Amino acid sequence: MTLTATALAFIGSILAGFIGSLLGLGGGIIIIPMATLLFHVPMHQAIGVSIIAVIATSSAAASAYVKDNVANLRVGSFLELATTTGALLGAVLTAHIPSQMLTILFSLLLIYSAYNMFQKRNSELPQGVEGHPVAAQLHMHNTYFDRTLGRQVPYKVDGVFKGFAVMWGAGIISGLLGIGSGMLKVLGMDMVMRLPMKVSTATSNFMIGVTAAASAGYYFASGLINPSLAGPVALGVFVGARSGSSVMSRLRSSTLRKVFVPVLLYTAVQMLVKGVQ
Amino acid sequence: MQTNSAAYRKAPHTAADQLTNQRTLETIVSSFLHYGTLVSATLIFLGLALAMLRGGDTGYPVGVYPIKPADIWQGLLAGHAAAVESLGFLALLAIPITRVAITVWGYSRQREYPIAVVSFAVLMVLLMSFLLGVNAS
Repeated sequence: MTLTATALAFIGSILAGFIGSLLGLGGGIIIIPMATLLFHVPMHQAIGVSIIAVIATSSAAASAYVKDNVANLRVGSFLELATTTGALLGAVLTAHIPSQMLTILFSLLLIYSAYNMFQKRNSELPQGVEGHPVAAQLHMHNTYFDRTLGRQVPYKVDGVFKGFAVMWGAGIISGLLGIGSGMLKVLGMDMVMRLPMKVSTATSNFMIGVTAAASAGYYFASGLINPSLAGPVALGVFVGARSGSSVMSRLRSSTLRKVFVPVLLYTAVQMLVKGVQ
Repeated sequence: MQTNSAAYRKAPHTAADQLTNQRTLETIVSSFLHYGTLVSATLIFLGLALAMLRGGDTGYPVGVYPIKPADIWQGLLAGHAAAVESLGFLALLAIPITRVAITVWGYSRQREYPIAVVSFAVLMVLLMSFLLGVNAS
């Protein structure tokens, strides 16, 4: 790659890392189109580069979120079992499931979620969450310090098994399509487990690296991680995720939701176009 | 009282003691992620910078780079830029897996066995998929 192309990949990845760390996504929605459209890399290699970006976003952002106790370690560890087994199953099923139909279904699900999120756009913290008994047993209920509210926010975790099921589905879809796992994780924690929005995005950041690692071995050993592109992408994502994670704590949850809605719609359109083609 | 472990487990944890209980593991996980990303970023940057300083010479033909640990090691000994970068990617891939191993250890130390078992299962799934993936490639 030329110096200009390297610089371009680096700058684009700063944006991907920034948005990804803010919203709990891996940035695949930015990295994959950038790799295929701008750098004309084949789809498989684009997914390989995206996996590197996901792990880089996750590691850099989660470092800050775990330290600030915004990411919930126990919720993350519990749900990782669902996402990794789901991703493994999804990867096995790839050959047997028509991905075109799945892509269209996925985009419809995202549009529906965007609508839901839009309805909740002004909600700052979840109200009246009773908490699931299993969540108490696993010490999932927790407290984080919210900088914008200027106080400790205690919260409870609901819908533990429903959340587990949603994460399993998220894992399967990400294994099948190679995209979208972070988005579904945030939606599942926000809507089913009823965690505060910041805890949902931070915990998603904590988990996505592990989901991606489940398929990273294959991509690396197959030589699908193209270092001339993956190198600047990883570095850019590190920079973006670092700054994103420090900005996130200064934003209101309602602001995060308002950023999340257009990103959901953008991804839905992207997937719809891909599915119809 | 301390012999009645069942009663101890069922005792409600106040927010305060739960926080102090979690603080150590969280600090360890956070610093691990911090230094892990630092090491990986440094290696990738060094590899890219070396190749650039040498006018694009990675030490390998265009499109070729070391993947197997033995090849990476050989490349490092020879001072090839692409080998340094590959080592950075390996370090990056090792971060999530090692992080899960750390939580298994941490939960066990804190006697939180149910979540420790879940975390251990995740580690096994990761190792299995890694081996399956490497073999399938």
